[in-house]
Amino acid sequence: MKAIAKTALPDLFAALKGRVYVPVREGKGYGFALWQGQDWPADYQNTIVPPKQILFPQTEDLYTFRVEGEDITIDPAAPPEEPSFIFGLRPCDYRAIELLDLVFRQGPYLDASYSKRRDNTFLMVLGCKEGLPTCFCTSFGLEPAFAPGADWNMWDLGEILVVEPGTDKGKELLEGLGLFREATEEEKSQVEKLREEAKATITLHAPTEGITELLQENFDHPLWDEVARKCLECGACTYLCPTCHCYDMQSSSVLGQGRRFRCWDSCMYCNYTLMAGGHNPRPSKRERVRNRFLHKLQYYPENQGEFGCVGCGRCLQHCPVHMDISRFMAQAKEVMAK
Amino acid sequence: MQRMTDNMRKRAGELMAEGKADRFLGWEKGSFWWQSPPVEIKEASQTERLIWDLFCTANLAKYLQQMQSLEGKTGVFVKGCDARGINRLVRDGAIDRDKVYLVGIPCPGMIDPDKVRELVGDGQVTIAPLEDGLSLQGPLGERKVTLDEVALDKCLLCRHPEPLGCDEVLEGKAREPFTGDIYEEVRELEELGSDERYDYWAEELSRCIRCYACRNVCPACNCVKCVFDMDQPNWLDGATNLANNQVYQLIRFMHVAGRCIDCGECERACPMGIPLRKLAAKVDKDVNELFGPFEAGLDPEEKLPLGTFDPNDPDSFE
Repeated sequence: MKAIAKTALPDLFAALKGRVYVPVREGKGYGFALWQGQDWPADYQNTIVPPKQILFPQTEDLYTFRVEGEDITIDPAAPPEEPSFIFGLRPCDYRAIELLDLVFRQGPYLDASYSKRRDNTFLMVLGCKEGLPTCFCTSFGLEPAFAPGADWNMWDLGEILVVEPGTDKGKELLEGLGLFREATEEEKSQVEKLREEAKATITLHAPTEGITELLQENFDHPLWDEVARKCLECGACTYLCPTCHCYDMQSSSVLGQGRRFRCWDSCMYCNYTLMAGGHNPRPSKRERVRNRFLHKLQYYPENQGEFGCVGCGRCLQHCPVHMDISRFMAQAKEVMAK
Repeated sequence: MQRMTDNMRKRAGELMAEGKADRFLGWEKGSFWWQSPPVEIKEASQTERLIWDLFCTANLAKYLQQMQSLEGKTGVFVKGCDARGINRLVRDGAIDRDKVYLVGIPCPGMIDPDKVRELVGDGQVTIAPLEDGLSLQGPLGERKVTLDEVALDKCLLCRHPEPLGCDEVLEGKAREPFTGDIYEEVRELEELGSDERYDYWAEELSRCIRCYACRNVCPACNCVKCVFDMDQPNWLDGATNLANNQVYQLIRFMHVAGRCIDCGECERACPMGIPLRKLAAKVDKDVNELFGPFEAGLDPEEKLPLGTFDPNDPDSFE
């Protein structure tokens, strides 16, 4: 474990060779933005848009094209070669990136663009001292102030930031930077205390036990009608979800020039499963809302062996009609038949 | 508050028993102190779920459109803005007035949770009514405030807290209607130079993630198929960038011109904190200046300024 004075963080950011993303004030909350010498809000809470947008941008060019007479020129777009550093992502958001890895980097099909960014991105996790009332990460086995496997775990001890590398890459970077000193025994025990105390601040609970099996058996339960009736079918929950990863591929062109790009898509949108010819296998809101919940709680466990929710609470916080997945889970356990 | 809650439960039960409503729309308590989401009551035994407090902000008008296909009548509890939203939808022929039964609630104004958080923090927060205001209690301590100190901005400018066009109105006290200048903020923006104004909106709209929460929550957005959901032709592609976001937001606000009731739901629903009410207010101000004084949703028979031809309509493109 190493330590650095928080006043020396600008030196750290300047020493990192690449793009450094830090939390910033954004709208009515927080977001991540490139560090350009600004102060960062040390007391920031979960960002509104999760850091997935750095690894998986909302809109990303795949290639551009140009038509001149008989000639067509195609220029593939590539993610930047330059490394990125995300400073201060929360353990839930780190875990969400691991879940995105399962989709984009596992199996025979590698998502080239995501993988490239992921390989080039260094993840510096800052433990939460205190969860928000909407946080329920512990229900999914997460620890609010520790992310196993992250390049760095960091803890804010007031004046001092303590760092523990969790990967070889992380160790190498930490040792290569001359800015750190060894953490004292006192600081190490403060970190232990912070980790323990943080757990107790997570007060919301979602009952995960047996939920996958229960949902498997209740695909047509009337509870889905009630849930669907209330939903307004916007995409806020999906776009703000750190594990939602659906995208569409589209193109646009003007006067012989154009581009092919991918952009986030949402299973809540009516066109999401619309097929050529007009058939839509999810014709109504009921099927679409159900899909979103089942993807997190049934399909992810079936396909990846892990829940697709990390309990970050963004959907609870930002849904215009306050749909609450933790409450849904409790309700399902109550009314769905085993 | 409790008395109103009791009245609502009682009245919903009675009306359902009398056959005047087959189901009821209202609000229930959500998972947190600041949440009172919409709820649909399907039978008299469920009326205990209904509540009335200072967080019943969600506009229920939006749900009636999807409920048109249901058999029988839907009872709805309405604040001033809910009623105006419904009057509007009736005016557009989007809902059949005979299929709804409106029970009005004189509205004291709703609370902006962010204003409470700023004063007493978040987490364990309780809000208790006092003779002349509210007592807020939270992790940062206790504060005594007037409702206006923590009310939503749109409520502070509300001209019709008494619901209009209802089948009945429950007994209660509405806030004083606002009689001042509702366009003050718009005037401030209008006074900026065009470059400054462009920069202001460019910064705000560049944050838009096109989740369409503003559209889907809007009681004036009642198109069966929205232009932004069409794929053939695909009028606006899915790329989020300033140009596309501007096209989306400006077209949407032009489209609700003369029909927006300033219920503020777009701004409340926006996760990105974009001040959408200002765009709405600008369009509303222009409609008023070009076509004469008009407030949408006051009367289901009203003549819409942009839906009625008048040979004297201004037609300049200056």
